[in-house]
Amino acid sequence: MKNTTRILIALFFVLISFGAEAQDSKFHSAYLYQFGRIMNWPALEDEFVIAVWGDSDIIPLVEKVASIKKVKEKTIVVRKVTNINQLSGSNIVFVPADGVSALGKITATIRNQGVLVVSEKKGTTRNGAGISFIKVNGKMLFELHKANIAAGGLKSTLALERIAHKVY
Amino acid sequence: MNLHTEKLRSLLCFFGFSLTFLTFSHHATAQVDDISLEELLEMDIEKMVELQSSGRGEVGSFGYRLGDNDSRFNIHGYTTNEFISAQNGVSTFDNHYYNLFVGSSIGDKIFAEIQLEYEHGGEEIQARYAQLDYKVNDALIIRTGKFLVPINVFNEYLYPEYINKAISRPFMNRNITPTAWAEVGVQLRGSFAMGEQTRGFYSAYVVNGLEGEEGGDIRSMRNNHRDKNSDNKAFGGKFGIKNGGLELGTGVYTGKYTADGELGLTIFSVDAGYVNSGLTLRAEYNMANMQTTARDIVRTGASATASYIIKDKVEPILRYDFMNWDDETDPTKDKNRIYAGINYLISNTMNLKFGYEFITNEGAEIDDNVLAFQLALGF
Repeated sequence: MKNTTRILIALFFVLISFGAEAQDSKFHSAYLYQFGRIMNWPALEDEFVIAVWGDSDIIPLVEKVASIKKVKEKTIVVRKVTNINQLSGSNIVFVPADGVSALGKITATIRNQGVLVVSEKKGTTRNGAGISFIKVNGKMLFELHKANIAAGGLKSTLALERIAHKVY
Repeated sequence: MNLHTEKLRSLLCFFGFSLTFLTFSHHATAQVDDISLEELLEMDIEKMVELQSSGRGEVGSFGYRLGDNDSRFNIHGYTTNEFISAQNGVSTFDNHYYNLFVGSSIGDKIFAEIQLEYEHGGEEIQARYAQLDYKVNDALIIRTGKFLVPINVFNEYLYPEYINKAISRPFMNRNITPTAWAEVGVQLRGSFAMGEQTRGFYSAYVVNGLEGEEGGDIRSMRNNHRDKNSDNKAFGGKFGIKNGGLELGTGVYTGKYTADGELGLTIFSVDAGYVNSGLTLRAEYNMANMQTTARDIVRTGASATASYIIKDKVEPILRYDFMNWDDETDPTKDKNRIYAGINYLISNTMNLKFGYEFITNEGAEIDDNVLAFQLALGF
């Protein structure tokens, strides 16, 4: 009986945490759309490309966003990328938490190409991301690094800076 | 009831509780879970942020929730410890000040700061100033709250002991412009260029103002935080210029000081300073014209200070100051003083001072010279 109780308690916490992560991914994907909508982009190609680094639960959600919305009247295309050679042509690169070790080479590759690097893990604007997500008091917010955005060949907008939790 | 039944009952209670808790918490999160991705995409980004928590039933309170803002918080302070031995008094150690500056800035427009004063080992505790600034631009800053009166450079910029060259304050800076002197009201202030090397600065304010007894000690008229007796407000301003190490300024304050709002008090100050390499020269003149039913009382005072820093560490200082009380009943209140001291500069905000004051009382031989040591730190 003791073992059964322990298993049930463990299952309880797993269910709770799983629900929270799904909620986070929903907000991440909605934010990616908002960043695309609010940022000023250099001349866009026929499609607005959101690249996701590696396997991530966010991919089906961003694909859902792509099926509903457009950015600057361009169709959103979602690409899963696993190496830096596949980044060419991207407008936003989303780096999940387990991919942040690649941030350095990602930011070096997209330099001055008009690409916004968004990182899931908090504090990773220190590692070159233009935007990183952060959860504060239960709210999914983001931090913005102006110099990193500029290094990607973009200029951050006042609208984003006003709503950002922190601007570096 | 046997042990087996009791265990079964406990287990059923546990599952019942877990199920209730799971259902409740799922319902609570489901209120945000219920928002579909499609609905999120129709919202402004600001609305998305607002949506995520109700702001109710959560941890923390106002201070914790303010942590969501882009607020750059700072806390500093200064402490002053002394040994004072007066010829006509008892000698004493004194934990004179342990004051804290607590403040924050939001962006580059909004600044809030309070000085919490713990004086004489905590016997006297108050907010020396508590102000909020909004910066429109360099030439226009709107200050509200309780703020240091911009009457002269000593009251606004020089009085803390880790800055002041001498251990004591000039007589006039205690009893004419009663440093540290703060009033509650509204102030406009700012600075502007006047040529390549010169900068002008100004302040203009309206405040509740000093309030006290007819003909009384101006120092005791402070802390009129809320007008209760009279609608009258006091007005004032300061203008100054700074060119390199040279600074000149003049300030004025005027208002009714008695509770019945009948008798006026005007305070005027002019100051000059020159700082170059290790040399500091400062001079100041204050005058207060105080109406009484009998006559106008005119109190005057002045000070002149010279100091020089030797090899970044040792600073001899000499100061002369006087004050005339215009008190017909007690002319010995009028004093003049020579302060001679030497400071050891431990760091740029920490100094050890030794000073001796030769005090002369008008028309009376009173032994009230003072020997003092002071250790002051700004942190």
